[in-house]
Amino acid sequence: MKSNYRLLGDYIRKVNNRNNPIISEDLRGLSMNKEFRKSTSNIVGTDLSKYKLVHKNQFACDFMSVIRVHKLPVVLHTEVEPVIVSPAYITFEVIDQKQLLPEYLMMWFRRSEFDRYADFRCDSAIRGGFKWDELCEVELPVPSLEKQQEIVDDYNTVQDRIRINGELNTALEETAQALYKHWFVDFEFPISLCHTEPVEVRLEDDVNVENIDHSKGYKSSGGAMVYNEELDQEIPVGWEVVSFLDELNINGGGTPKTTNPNFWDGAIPFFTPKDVSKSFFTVNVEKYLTQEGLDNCSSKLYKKNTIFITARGTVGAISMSGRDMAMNQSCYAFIDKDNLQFYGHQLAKFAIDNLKRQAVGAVFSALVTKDFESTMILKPSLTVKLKFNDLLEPIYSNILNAQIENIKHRELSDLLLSKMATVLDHKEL
Amino acid sequence: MAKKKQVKEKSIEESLWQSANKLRGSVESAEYKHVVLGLIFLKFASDKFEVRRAQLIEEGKEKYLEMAAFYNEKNVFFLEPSSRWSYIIDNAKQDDIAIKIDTALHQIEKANPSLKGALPDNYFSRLQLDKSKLGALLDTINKIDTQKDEATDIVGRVYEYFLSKFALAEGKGKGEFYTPKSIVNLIAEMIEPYEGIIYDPACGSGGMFVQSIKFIENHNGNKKNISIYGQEYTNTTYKLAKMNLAIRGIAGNLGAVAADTFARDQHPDLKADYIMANPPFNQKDWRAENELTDDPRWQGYETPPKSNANYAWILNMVAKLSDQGVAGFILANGALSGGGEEYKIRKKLIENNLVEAIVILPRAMFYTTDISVTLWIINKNKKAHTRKIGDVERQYRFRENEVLFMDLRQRGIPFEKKFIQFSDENITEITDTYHNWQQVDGNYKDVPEFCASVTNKEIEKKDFSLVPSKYIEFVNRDEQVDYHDKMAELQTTVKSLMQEKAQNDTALAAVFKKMGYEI
Repeated sequence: MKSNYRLLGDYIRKVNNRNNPIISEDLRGLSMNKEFRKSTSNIVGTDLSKYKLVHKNQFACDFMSVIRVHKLPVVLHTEVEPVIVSPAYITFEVIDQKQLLPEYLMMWFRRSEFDRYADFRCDSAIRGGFKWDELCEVELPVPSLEKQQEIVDDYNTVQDRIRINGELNTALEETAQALYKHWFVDFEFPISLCHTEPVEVRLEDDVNVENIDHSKGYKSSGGAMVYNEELDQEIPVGWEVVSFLDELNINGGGTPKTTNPNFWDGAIPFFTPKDVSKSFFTVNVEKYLTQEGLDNCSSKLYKKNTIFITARGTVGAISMSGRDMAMNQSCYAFIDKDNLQFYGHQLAKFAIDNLKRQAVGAVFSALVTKDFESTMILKPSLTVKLKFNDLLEPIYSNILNAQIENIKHRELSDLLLSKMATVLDHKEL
Repeated sequence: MAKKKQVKEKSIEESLWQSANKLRGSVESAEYKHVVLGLIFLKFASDKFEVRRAQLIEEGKEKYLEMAAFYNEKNVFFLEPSSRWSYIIDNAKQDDIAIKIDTALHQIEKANPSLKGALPDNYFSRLQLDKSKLGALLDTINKIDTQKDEATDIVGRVYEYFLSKFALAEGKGKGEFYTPKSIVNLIAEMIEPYEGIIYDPACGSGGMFVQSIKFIENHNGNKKNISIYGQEYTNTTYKLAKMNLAIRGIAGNLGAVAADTFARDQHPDLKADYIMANPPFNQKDWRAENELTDDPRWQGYETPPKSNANYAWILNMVAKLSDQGVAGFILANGALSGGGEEYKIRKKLIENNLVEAIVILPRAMFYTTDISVTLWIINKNKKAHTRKIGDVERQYRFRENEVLFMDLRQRGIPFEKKFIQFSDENITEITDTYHNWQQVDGNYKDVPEFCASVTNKEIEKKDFSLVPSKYIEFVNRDEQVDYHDKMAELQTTVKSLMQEKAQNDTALAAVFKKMGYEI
């Protein structure tokens, strides 16, 4: 054992608090990201007194899954209110928090190298498995309490930034969607646009141009509407109902031979349905092509801001390329005919949501060109579309920026975690 | 450009498997194996017979055509006219074909003492097979040319293919644990059974023996220099093993009957030079409470617990090793650290310097179970000595008080989608490491997360646990991260991102303002 390393077994002890009398009904599971999640188990009629209580600063872990998932699901409970977990899990706590900070220990558990270690130690039992003995044999550096606190604080600063960026992005994405609905579903785009192009957008005859309330949108201000039979609703005069493919050009993808190593592990991102992120953009992907690989497949190199819609496997997920990338054959790539991609992205989201809603009950198994062909959408006047795209541009660029920043911050977090292994040998931290 | 159409030629094994599969449904899959393999045996024996017969005619020995001795001297089974494949095929469409097959098999067994108890007994008539399906199967088997190329051991290949396919098809149920070829191969390459007595106390269909013979052939040895002893509990499997050996012209003593190795040891006085085995894992109630308590096989050790036969298998093998003997066998991981009597036996095995190597195998190597298993190597002679294996001379060093631990969980290549097997490169790497460790000037080095040479003293410190990860070093890669380079890179990117973000913030605020919702 390295001189600055200590045996974890000297710092922790098992606890076994049963929920008897019943204190908590808040049953949690352990996620692969080492967080608690709301349990999906049905607890109606279950005797909750058998479950294990986890108090603040205590840990819950699942030894049995290690061999299967190649990591140790372990979670530190940080809230004041206790929660309950399955009695199959082991719960434990730090014996003396003046010696070892639970949050510091949790950081040690978050390291991917710790998971690799846990998996490595899984060769003892019949079905393999990590056990209490193995956990106690874990070795880790235990610096002074102040140092531990400092390490935890640095880590949390970065984590907070990641969280803030994430929340900000959610808010910005909702903003973009709210704007789209306001303009193209409720038809409340700014009335000022009418003045610039009176030919396309005009007011109802009985509205006096002088009396327009500029704080209101087109429809509320008396913009001219006409009944459309196809959509069975009123639409602004001058707008048309067209096919989805009249607004957006559709393109396909392809995969070069997977057995040829010269085609893979290059610098060109290769988008597949797996890479769809929760945010608007996809920046990092699992697989990368070489130029030779790109030349030997039927995918083009799609520019940044191309709209990808997944058609097989995961069906109907939408993502925008955060940088130039190629794409496999399970997706379609879309480019707006006026090259107004942010507008196009919102339109696609809206159209796909509609498609999915109509498919309720039926299995939404795959999307083909015909599905897009037969999807009818409302084509606005070019001015409105152009203005909308301009408005969205800074929002989208902010979202992309925060996504990239978070990728970097996650690398920084990993680095801070890795750094723990050498904490006493250097003075950087 | 028109693409050239590639017609993939199906191997004999594959096409045979497919057409033979037609019979399925009418026969339970476990039974089915015996039907197919029994017929292949008949075809093969018959083809060899016809070749020998033609030879005799050529040599002008027509008058000896019906004399068994003239066939047996060439390792060929003598067949009565009604045991010959041609007779079976001529009668393939008749109602009593099943009885005719049974009779044929019975006659072969009667005429050839070495096949005693090997062939299915009244099997076909009992099964009441669908006549047309059986006829179709006969047609398919009729197409195999067993004599096409003797070097390729076509029957052996078909046999092996079928055995493994059946193991796959039978899946988890009651299927026997067919030991995957690459594991058997690994064991043979490690313990190098070159000449002497080979024993397998749980021999199944005889896979270990076949691999040993292959090892000898690959190293230009003479298979006559090896004697085979085995025992098998399940009667049908015992017959399979006998057929498996007979088909390859290997003589072997598998005991007079199929029997339980513990209760009815068929080779009580055997001293084997090589033992290769894959006994059943974690067998419960292998003896009654008061049974087998002072069996000579446990002499000097505790009696293995009734609750688990793992250590009974180990001691059975230890008892049957000659003074130079080496055993390689597979057990469930639990045996590495079991408590109670198991602990005491293990302690003594280590103190007696018997344990040579403990090797953790990757998961998902077995068709029928996903449990983690260990390859144990027990060696009675860990003293310095030399030994020749064909052209290779091994100079073993003195290594009492030492055990080699290996972890192969990161080795292996995918096989049949769900499974893992060793590639030839894997086997070379593993056996080289092991043989280098054994030898003088072997240039062996501990490799983190792969292997470690450990003294008995260190094992004692870990309370005689043989769990490899307690000894093999784990490298914390975090200690090697190039912090400064990575940090410098992050510094540049995060700095420019933050600048970009500041500018963007202004633009974003303007958007909200334009919409009338100033931030």
